[in-house]
Amino acid sequence: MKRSHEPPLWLLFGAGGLLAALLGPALILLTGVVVPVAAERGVEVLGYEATRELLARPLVGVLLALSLGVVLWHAAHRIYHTLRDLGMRAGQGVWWACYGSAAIGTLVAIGAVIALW
Amino acid sequence: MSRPPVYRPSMRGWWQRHPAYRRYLLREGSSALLAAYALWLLAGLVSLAAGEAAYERWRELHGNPWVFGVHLAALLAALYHAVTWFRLLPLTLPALRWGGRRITDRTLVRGAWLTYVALSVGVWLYLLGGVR
Repeated sequence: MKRSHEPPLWLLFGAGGLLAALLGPALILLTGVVVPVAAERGVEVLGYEATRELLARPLVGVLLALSLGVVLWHAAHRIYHTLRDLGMRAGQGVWWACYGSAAIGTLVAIGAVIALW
Repeated sequence: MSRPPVYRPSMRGWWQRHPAYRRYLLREGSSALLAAYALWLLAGLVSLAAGEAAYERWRELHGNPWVFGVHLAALLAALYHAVTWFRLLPLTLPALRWGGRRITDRTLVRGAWLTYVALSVGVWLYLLGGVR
């Protein structure tokens, strides 16, 4: 029998799911709701200088890039399996589209963080 | 690649047969909004690396009603994801022990929510503290 490479995929899926559950709501509330509402009142939240200084710290930047990566991975895993659950004949192509785009997203995030240094 | 069981025609429309199946689809579907948010942050990160003008444009886009609406939907999706994820947590872990006694599922789920609150407050303080 061919060895399955599902376990490492599942670990990344689990890491992304846990992270999204622990930090997702707080982050979305901050960047998606507080930023525009504060801007309307003339208060600058997550302004350029401060955010750049913050994310140029290697630890913060790399953690953010890897977090984005595992959350994308988590979504790729769920979307791929749900498409199959819904009866779509998802083969190698869809597999690569799901997990490949998550991998590319991770690389782009790491590249952007390195560009900040 | 490990293959899930073959989909049979008799399974067609399975999600219409029970509310739990629809909640399952809703839970799996929440990941699409989480991915959209992750991609949005990725765009912000790339624009930050591109320079001040690009980053400020990304930040201004948050005031667009559509962008704001999708963020609200993503917030709901993330909360639903957290509720379902923590509820299932005990099933995904081996039995944990503390001082010879087994940690109950209830304690584990409560611990997860406490961690959630602590991390949420911590991230807010860190990001706003670093910004001000």
